[in-house]
Amino acid sequence: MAKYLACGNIMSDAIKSSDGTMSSFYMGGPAFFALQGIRLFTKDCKLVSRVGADYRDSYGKWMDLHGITQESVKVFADHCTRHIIEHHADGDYSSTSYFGSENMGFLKTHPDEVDSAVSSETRGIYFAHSQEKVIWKKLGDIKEKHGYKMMWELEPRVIKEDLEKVMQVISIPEMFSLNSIEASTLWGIPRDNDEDIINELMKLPVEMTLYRVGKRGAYAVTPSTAEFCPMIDISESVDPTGCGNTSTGAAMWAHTEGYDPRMVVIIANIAAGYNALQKGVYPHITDEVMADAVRLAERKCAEIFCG
Amino acid sequence: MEKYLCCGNIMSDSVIKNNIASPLSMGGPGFFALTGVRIFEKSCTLVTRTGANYVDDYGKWLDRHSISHRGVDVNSEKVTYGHIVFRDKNNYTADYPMGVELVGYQMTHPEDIEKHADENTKGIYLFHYPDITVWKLMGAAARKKRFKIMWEIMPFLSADDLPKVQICCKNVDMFSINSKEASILYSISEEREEQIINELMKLPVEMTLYRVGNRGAYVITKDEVVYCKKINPKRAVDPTGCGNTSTGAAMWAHTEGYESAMVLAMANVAAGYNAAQYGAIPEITDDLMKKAYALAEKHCRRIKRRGRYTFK
Repeated sequence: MAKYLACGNIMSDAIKSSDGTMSSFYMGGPAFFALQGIRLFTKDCKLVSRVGADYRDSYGKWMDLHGITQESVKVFADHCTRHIIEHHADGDYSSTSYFGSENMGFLKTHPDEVDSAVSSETRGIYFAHSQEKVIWKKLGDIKEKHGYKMMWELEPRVIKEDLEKVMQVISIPEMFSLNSIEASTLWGIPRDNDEDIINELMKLPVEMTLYRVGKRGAYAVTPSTAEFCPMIDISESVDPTGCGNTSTGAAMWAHTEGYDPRMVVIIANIAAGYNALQKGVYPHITDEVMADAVRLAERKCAEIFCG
Repeated sequence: MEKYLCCGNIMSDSVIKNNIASPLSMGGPGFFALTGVRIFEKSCTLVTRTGANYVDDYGKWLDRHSISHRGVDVNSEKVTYGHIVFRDKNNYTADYPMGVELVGYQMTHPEDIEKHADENTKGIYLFHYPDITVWKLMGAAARKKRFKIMWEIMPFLSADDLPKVQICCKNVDMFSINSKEASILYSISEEREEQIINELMKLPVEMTLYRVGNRGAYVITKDEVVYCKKINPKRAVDPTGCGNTSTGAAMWAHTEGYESAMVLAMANVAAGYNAAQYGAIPEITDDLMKKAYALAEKHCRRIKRRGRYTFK
């Protein structure tokens, strides 16, 4: 059993460049990126996901390398979902499903899988899902049984009309994560108007919201504060795919562990920085990498908030 | 518990013909198959994942027909719905305004079927694509719980799927496919029925229901091929779901041990009752069940008089 769970789809991504060339498929998907974000700071984590049998060749090996149990990884189909991603200049992206969106829906994690995966040891879970009341009622019931904290990362492609649905379920998780495009769409506020958007986020009945503003960085927003941290580059950035999911996983861990919002947003941005170093996930999070990440977080906290 | 499980999506359809859309009607492969079984057998139920609003119509239909809801897992707010556009009598396109991802999220999984099958279960219908992992799991469940499986293959195949189909068929007892799908799968023109049927006879299944649209269907086994033209007990209004309905009926009939001619007659009678309105058969009374059975018997005699290996 594990203290921290990353729940949701894994999906392999190929990146299509502006000149039309395509990369190979790299490991990804919201839950796997989130798992990476958590694993950068704690070994006590696992993935809860429905996958294709071919996960063993890549995802399975990565989890073996990192000592992560696959007890909650269930093989339900021949192939993991795959997407072709195109990043746009405005920070948004589009994606095309390689095996079809139906396949992706078939492999989505259901609340009953979370129920099977959690235990009395579980302290926090990450889940990327839609704002359907039926799903959140079930997730809320499961959470109440076991007493852990929950981070909800909003699924992309929301529309303005989804705000009502979001508000109906937002009291269930303790933590929330969304980006500036999503927030702007939901509240009808221009993306660059951080203050007005943050004012709305502060009203949400959650302990903490990770508000991601793309290349500029992120905010950790609580009902009483909003702490900003600029993007943190570990080295040269190669690909931003999954930075949101990775930072959200890390933020879930940090907040659940009791770190203050300043440290939460720094930890989130460091995790995103490590993710951006390559296409796909960081290949091997060694003990040294983990120690470096913690040292960097302490240094950045001193620089940004105390310097 | 029930002897027959119909497993797969329920989804409401609006059929668009000549730019005019019908109101949304109950449908989806799992539901149409259920009606095909229910027209001959009361011991049946639905295994599906669906939206909470299913209670407004599907739920009432189940109650009207004394069918348990135990296999219905509410996992979303709404039942999916689709717009079906028929290009001709046999070919259609479908689009799903709530998104195809939701259709996938509501697909039935082998674990759902294993959960709901018990020692009384004799046969199940499942609408799914050719995924070896899925069918291995289904085969394992069938061996454990000793039921027969009818696989109705999902549309939108390619010739590349043929090897997978052949492997998946080793885990099922019955198979159902239409002429367009078979033509694509085997790269044989639809008109070359004998050639397609020769290929279908090689599949490692007990029986294949080969549906040829408006012209009717064949039942194919290793030893025989029988044909029956379409049967219309009433004026035909809408063919949506006829394939699923006939497949459900064929699954039941074959599992019950009926001979091929009767399996085929029952399949076509069920399809005929489905075609009499938009959406699924609204009410299956005891009287309708008797009439359906009598009509099937009549057509069974005709099929047998025509003999085996009869092509159009």
